[in-house]
Amino acid sequence: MELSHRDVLEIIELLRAAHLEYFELEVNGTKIVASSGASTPPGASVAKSSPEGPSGRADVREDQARLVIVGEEPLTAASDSDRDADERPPVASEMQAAATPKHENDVVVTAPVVGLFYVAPEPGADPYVTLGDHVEIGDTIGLVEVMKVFNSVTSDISGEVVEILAKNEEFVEFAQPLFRLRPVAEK
Amino acid sequence: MTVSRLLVANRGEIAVRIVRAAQALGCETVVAVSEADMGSMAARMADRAVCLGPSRASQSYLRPDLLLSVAIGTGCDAVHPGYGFLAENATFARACEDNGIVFVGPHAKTIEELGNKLSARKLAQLSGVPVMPGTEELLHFQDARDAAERIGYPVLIKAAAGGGGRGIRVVRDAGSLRANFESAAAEAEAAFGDGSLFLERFIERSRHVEVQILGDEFGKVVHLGDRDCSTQRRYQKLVEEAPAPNIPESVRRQLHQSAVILGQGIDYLNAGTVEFLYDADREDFALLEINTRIQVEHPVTEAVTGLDLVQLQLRMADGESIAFEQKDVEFSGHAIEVRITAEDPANGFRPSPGLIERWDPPHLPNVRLDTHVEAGYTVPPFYDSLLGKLIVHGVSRQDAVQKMTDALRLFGVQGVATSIPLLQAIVSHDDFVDGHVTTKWLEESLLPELVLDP
Repeated sequence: MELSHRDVLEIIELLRAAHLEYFELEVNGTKIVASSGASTPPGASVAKSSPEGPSGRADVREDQARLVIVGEEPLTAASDSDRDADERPPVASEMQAAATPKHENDVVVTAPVVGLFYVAPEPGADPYVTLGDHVEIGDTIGLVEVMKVFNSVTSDISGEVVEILAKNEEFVEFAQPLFRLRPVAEK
Repeated sequence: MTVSRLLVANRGEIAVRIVRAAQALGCETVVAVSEADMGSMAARMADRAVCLGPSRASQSYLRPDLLLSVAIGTGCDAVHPGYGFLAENATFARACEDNGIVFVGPHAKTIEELGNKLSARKLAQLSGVPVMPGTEELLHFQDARDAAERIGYPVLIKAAAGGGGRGIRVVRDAGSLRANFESAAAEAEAAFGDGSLFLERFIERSRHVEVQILGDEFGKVVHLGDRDCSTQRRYQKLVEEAPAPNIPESVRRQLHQSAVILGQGIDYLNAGTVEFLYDADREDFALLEINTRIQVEHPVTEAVTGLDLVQLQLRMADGESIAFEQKDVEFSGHAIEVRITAEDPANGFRPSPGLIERWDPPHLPNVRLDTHVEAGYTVPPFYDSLLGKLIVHGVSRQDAVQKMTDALRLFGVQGVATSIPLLQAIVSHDDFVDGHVTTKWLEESLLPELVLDP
């Protein structure tokens, strides 16, 4: 997909927040390169790795876009084209510091409906949950809004929030992963 | 184009068709898909695919709120609804308008007025377009009985909100009127939430002839000729062609003129189809209904006019004027389309979803295939069974029939049962070759005499 003006602005916002040293993005021949002064040339240091791979490096694919990011912090990554919810890499969202490694018993909570994802009951309010919070079965942990109708995202298990996979007010697809929870017994 | 990102609110072959048309105009595409369609051809071709909801259409493709949410969430400035699903849903069209998103089709008000057969009848009468002798809404059985006596049996009971053959009954005598009246009302109430009925004269030997129209924002309405879609089973079209065969040229001109006058009378915007019932015995016609969407059979019109209707739809939705005059529309040759479906005609048209193991369409000149299917594709059980539309363009009708015969013979499909054997039987039958098929021909003449190898 061609990058719209809005897409570019969003990318720049994300970069600013991430304090990256070097950034390069190519979409259908359009290339964005950003660097914060003296940084490592990308060719030398970029390694192909999963978003949870070696710290500081992420290989991100969004549609036909290839996003290569080299920095001090890992970046959770998005792929709208990977359809299988379980295998889909976490969605481009918050620049989380060192995401907790996945555990095989982790439960991924997905969007019950397509729409806008909210972490809090209203703007400015405290989020329903933050990393490390304990949740019980049936707890509301987020909202997805479809045309002014708010749908609760609820926890199916009793456990700990180990990852938040979408950012506040992000447009999410049906069945897109939103949270990773770890059952209590696994702690 | 000022429209820069289009949401395709449909699936199957028409979603592929719309993505191609948008790409040709330099417009980005987002395809909204159900879970079952996440790997579909349209989803892979589009710039972006967004999962709308579960596989059942009632939880995905039929939800105006979800589609609108996707349009807004992905920054689309226009929505193409295709055919079926929300294509003629005035509420959805209005919601798009209210949210500043261009709905590729007529205004919501037009969809609403023409969606009701009774109000469409009234609009036609106001424009002087012939309608079948019939009634207003019938509130009581008493009224139906009186009207039927006046019109003369056989009569046709129709649902005002009708479509797809539901709520329609042929009544041949007074004795069976009550039972049919009551069951039609119940069926219409269940299907459309509106049980209102009316009566029309029933024509025994009728053909389905329709006229393609286009209207722009500046009040210009042109027609792109006619199509014959008389080969039907249970009001579902199987074979369509352009132009309609065996119609006197003077009557054909009247058909075209009626459609244009009707379109002008209601400031019709975008592509639409005015359907007529053609009485082959009297060489007379009457309005059937007006469809406010792109039709499945639009490719036969594209073949004979050389125009791209979906691109024209996008341009008109974008506010462009129609760039040609009526006199510039030229018709060349004859085109036939057949609908290849995953149904088994040898077993009561049982749907046949499943894995397509082999899909080898013919590669012949002047043969076009609109499809979303390829080898390895699994036909999901949730939607209609259309696999593709095979379209041939010949210099004459005879040439087109020959080309279709060849194309169907060379079409190799394995894995699911298809309508191909039936389509072969249709296009090789003398009645079809002669071009005199009526809407009851398939069910009353061909199917009873046909033996297909299961």
